Amino acid sequence: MLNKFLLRNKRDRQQEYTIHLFEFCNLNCSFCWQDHSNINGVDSILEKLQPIEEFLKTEERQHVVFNVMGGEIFADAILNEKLTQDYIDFAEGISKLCLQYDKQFCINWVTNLVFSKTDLVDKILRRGGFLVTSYDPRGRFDKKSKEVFLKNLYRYKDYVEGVGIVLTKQNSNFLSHQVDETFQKMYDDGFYIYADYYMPDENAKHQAPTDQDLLDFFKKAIDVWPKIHPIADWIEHEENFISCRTSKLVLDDGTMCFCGNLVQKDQSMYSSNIQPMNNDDIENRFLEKYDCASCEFFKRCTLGCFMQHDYKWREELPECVYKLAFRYIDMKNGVIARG
Amino acid sequence: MSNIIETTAPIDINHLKEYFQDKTISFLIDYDKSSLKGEKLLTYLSNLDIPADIKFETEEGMHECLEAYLHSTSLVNIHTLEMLVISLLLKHLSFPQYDEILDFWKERLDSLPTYNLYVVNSEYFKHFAESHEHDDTKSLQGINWVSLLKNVQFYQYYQIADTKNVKFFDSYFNEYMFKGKNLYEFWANENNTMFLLTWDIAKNAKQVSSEE
Repeated sequence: MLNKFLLRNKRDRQQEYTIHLFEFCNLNCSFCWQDHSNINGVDSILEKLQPIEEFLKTEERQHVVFNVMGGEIFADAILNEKLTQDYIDFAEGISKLCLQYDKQFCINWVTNLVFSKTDLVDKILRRGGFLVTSYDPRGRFDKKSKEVFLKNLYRYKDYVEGVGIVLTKQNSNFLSHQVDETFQKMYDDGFYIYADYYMPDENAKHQAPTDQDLLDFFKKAIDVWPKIHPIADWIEHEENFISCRTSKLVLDDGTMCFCGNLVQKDQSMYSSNIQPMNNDDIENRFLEKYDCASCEFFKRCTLGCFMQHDYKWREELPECVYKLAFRYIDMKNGVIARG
Repeated sequence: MSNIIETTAPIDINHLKEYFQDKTISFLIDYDKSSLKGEKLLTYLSNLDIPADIKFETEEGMHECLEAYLHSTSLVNIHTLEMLVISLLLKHLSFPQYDEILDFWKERLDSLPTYNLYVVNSEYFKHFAESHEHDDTKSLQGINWVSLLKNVQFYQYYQIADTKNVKFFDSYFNEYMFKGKNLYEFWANENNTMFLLTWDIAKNAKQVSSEE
């Protein structure tokens, strides 16, 4: 119930829909929960328009961002003229539905950029939409795939809306304590980089960051990469929306859910009874645990991933890690704390 | 018809549920019986963003909360505290321990007649306002001076205000730094006779010049 009050003005005005067309992927990132050899859904792209319409029927927000992804939607092994046309028709279908339900929208094609059929990707992009990609210094690329990623990153620079980096233990530690020239170059070249919170799965024991891992990364970002989001928002704005966009998901088999659905098979690693389409429990648990209601940084705070903070074996600091990051920002800015 | 729930802070979740179902409800917080005190309480009420006032049973509690309020970076609407500060500004009350922080508030409040000219649609007045000493502080400390502006009682203050104590506060005057609102949203209200008068004169002047 507390979430109804505290978060009522902190939710993004845009609704995010994440459409998993299929799980097939050419990479095998260590932190990904999908079955990368599963081609289910590759030949039935347009069927995903039906669950999208179901979501739109009850959509209260005026603007919807569609993140269309796999697996890897542009993987060489599957991308051909037929699939390209399916994507174009799919985007057209979204456009028609949004017109029908009076919604503004934009489409992001979510890709790892490790592909070579650029003529087909160009054909899709000519019909509209942007690219969203990810960079992870650990657990994503081998030497060859990283080269392809970088080549395409700069080839499609004008289309790339954002580069996400998943804050696994390995990624956050590497960036905090090592030199990563690729990451630094992307930052210096002005890409919109955002740190995404890791959602625990069966590998969480190895991959979930501790609070100390996160704090080390936040401090490094505040010192060296202050334009990375959400850190930039913490520094620059007095009020921010929460990071969790309560994304509405359509899975490869057409299942409609929130991200909580992804752990329905094994809930034992979570403290709360995670619901497939209701985040109230995990949101309230977070707000109560960290006493957000009386936190002096609440308005600036973007909070964390409610799923990650519900992970039973999370290694925590005595104080909220975000509060500590805000104190570090204020200390650097010479703001004197009170209260 | 408004309903007032007398309670303590943190507010019982069942009372919050009542408010969620009936937005005419407001809360009266018993300060001395509350576990949240001072800045923590003000932050809590600001974060919840619910209509609330505070009552004090002891002078000690009142001073603790008043001091926190005068320094607070959390913007709140607490009628009792607003009236206390207005009484201090009008010298109806005197607590010397707050003189220093009150001077800090006065520096901002004394500059608002200049802001009043700044928002009139006139290049001449705009230049005049900008000709004062500039101060680009972005600090939210003592931010609740803007909360006083909705109260008709406050405007008597300008009969005794120091007209030399004037600055042009770049950020306060131009940025949306008051819970996402700009200063105009607090200044332009029906209890502010200075604003109403200037607005009326400016409107009539515009009409005359367009008729000519």
